[in-house]
Amino acid sequence: MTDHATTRPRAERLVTFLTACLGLLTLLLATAGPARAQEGSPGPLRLELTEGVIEPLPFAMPRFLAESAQADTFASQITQVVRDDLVNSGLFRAISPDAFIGRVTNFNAPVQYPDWRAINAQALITGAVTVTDDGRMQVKFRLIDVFGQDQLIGRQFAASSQSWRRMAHKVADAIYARLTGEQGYFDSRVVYIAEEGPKDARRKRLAVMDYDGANIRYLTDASDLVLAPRFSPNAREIIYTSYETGVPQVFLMNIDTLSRRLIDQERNMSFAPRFSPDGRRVILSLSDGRQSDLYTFDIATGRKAQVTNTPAIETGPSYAPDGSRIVFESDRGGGQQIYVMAATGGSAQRISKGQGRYATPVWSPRGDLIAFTKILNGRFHIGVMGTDGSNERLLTGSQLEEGPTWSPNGRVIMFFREAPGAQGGPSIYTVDVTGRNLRRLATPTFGSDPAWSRLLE
Amino acid sequence: MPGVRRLTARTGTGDPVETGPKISIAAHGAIILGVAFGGPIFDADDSAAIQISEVSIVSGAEFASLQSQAPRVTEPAAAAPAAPAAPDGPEVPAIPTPDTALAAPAAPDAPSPPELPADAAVPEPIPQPVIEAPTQADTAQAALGGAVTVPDIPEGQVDNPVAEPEQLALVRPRPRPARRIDSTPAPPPPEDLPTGDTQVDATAPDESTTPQPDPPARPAAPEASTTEIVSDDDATSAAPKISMRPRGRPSDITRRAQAAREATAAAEAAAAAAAAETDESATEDTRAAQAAAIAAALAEVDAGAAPSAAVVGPPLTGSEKAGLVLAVRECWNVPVGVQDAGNLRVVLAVNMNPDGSLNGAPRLIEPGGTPQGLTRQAFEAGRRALLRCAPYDLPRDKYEHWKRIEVAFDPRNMVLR
Repeated sequence: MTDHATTRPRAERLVTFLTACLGLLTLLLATAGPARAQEGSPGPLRLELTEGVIEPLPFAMPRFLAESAQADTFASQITQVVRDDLVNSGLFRAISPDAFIGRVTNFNAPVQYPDWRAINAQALITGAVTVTDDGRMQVKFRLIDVFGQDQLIGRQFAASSQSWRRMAHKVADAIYARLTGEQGYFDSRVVYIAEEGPKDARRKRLAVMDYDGANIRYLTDASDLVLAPRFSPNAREIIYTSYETGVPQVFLMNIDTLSRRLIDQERNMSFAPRFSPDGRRVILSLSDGRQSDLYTFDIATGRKAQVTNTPAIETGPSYAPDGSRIVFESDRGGGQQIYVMAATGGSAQRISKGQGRYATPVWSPRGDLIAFTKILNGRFHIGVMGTDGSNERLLTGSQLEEGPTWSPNGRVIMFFREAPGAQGGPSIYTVDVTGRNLRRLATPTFGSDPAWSRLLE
Repeated sequence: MPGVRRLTARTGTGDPVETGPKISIAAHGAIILGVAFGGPIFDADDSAAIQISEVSIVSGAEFASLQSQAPRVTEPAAAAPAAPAAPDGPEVPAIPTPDTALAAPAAPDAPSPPELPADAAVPEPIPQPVIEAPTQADTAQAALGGAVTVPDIPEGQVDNPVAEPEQLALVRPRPRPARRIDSTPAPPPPEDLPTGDTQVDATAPDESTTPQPDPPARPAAPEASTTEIVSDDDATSAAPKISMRPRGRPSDITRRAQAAREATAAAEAAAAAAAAETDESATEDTRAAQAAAIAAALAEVDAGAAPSAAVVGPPLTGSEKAGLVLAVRECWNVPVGVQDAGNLRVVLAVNMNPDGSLNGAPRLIEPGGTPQGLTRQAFEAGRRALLRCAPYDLPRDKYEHWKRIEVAFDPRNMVLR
């Protein structure tokens, strides 16, 4: 018994001692080893970032300076339009002027970077407006990287003061392009169907507006039913479908002179037109009452060429940006689906592979995506997919929405959504191609069937 | 009778009867033996235990001494790692025993601290209590004193809080940038001259009118320090007696100090020679020469303020790296939605200051060449991220490992296809 009692502590102490030795040894190796291994100059520390944040970039934009007496109102308005453009894109966030520490009193004064850093403004936009006595306006601006302490861009535009809004859009486009690396889309127009009145007696007119809903101009009166207007590449002409002869027919209209003419001189039923990217041809559906096929018309000569020839209904054609291929919808396989084929005809390949029906395909101006309307389980969705049908993504969904159209840079999709109820009507929405930033466009009346122009020249 | 027989049999048979006493004898014998020899056994045991505990106590003491040394090793950014590095290489070739291991760091550590102050004769002005808290003044003084062999910064100056910051601004370890708080409200711009139509020139927007950056604070300071130094040149003896090892000092400080002293001596010699001719101009010359010497020394410190590359601490731990990645990530606004955003991988390099701030602007190293198109935006997004989130909280004693950082920004996983 006593032996036991004595030997056990001994063993324990031995173990303790050995453990201590081992610990010290480990400690020694841990401290001495790396230190010796790290002698000499270590290389740079490499970090790999694969995740960041997705948030609007905060910018500060003090009111543009009015450098002449008449410019005062314009300076405020232009500042507002530029700010709205940037904010509406969803990629930028305006810092409230109340938070500003610094003030800009001279367009050429050095930037007080600490003042803007302090409010975490990553970009600073300063500008000035001058209006001369003869009504000419000059708008100049600088875009400054506050943290990089670097002027990214500085430009000036001059035009008649009547087009102050376009100049503001151009300023916003330049800023957008410099910060994102993509072309802007603010200096552009939208043609759409303005709708008024109760649902059972809806009056529809063709209308053109700035992309943000300003400067609305009506092109037709409400006497005839009009549908599906589309811009020509130079945004001076539109093609649309009108029922003024009793059957749907496609017309070409100059939006400045409002002069118009029928595309198909043979007066067949025609609808769903769209311009080719070079603006020289129109592709549309012609119907003899039993089937409808795709045809192209040369605008200058009026020459007609058939693209498809099947017993099915084929409509809603849209060109790829290079004009080599078209995408269209067809029920040749039984249901309403999306197909791609060469612009001159040939065999078509179905690219819509999911469940449900697909309609109104539109090729992105960037060429990488096709936007469409999808009808699934009684719900309508706006979505995008690759040009081979891959990576389908639905961006929005509601009871009834359709008619996507691309912004000039292929970054934003505009479409219309029908509100339910007797008093409800269609409204125009925009959504980013990422599915973010869904916004309703403020129009004075209901609006449907929007078509976005390219950037104005 | 069976009962009697059994009884007799039990008592009659010798064996069972003798067992009891035997056991008793054996037990007693064992007890006696235990008493007799137990003492030595216990003694031996005790002595053994004491021995062991001695060892453990000794090692504990060593441990304590090691730990007491430890702060000195890790705290000063530059000088500390030098200790293990120099002697370790030759002295500990094989797996060392604990004793030598403990001794090893301690021994070289001891000589190194006295060495610096003795040679440099610099750090006198740094009072011990000041070290930790007011990082700005403290580190700046250290660098200033160490570099220039300034005998002291006169107490009057040190006390004067107004004069100090300006001097400090130019020396190497810059004060950490102010937090982003509007503690100093911007002076309200004067309701200035009416934006004169006539005065303002038409802007050539891009190059010609590029706003001038803030004038650097640098040039102003050397003059101030020069005058101070010259006026107090003789007051070396007034320096505080307690000296403290400066922090974040380059390891070859003695050489620098020597060089600086020589420069000053040369300047003084030149000034003395000049003094033979004219008194008035001699003073000017002296001042000019000393200013030049000090400026040269400052420049040298500036250029080589980073600790010598030969002295390196342990590398950053995984969590320290992860912390840095997290910090940058917070500020990296990923350019999603951009066409081909998945291929927008850029690598930026940036040099760091020991206080965790950036030393210069981040540069693009991958892809090479001038960034164009979307690469430019990707580069700028990365640059903004690095600049916005600075300064970074990094272990100072491992500065050698992060004084140059390369960050790859790869948005591939963030992009919708």
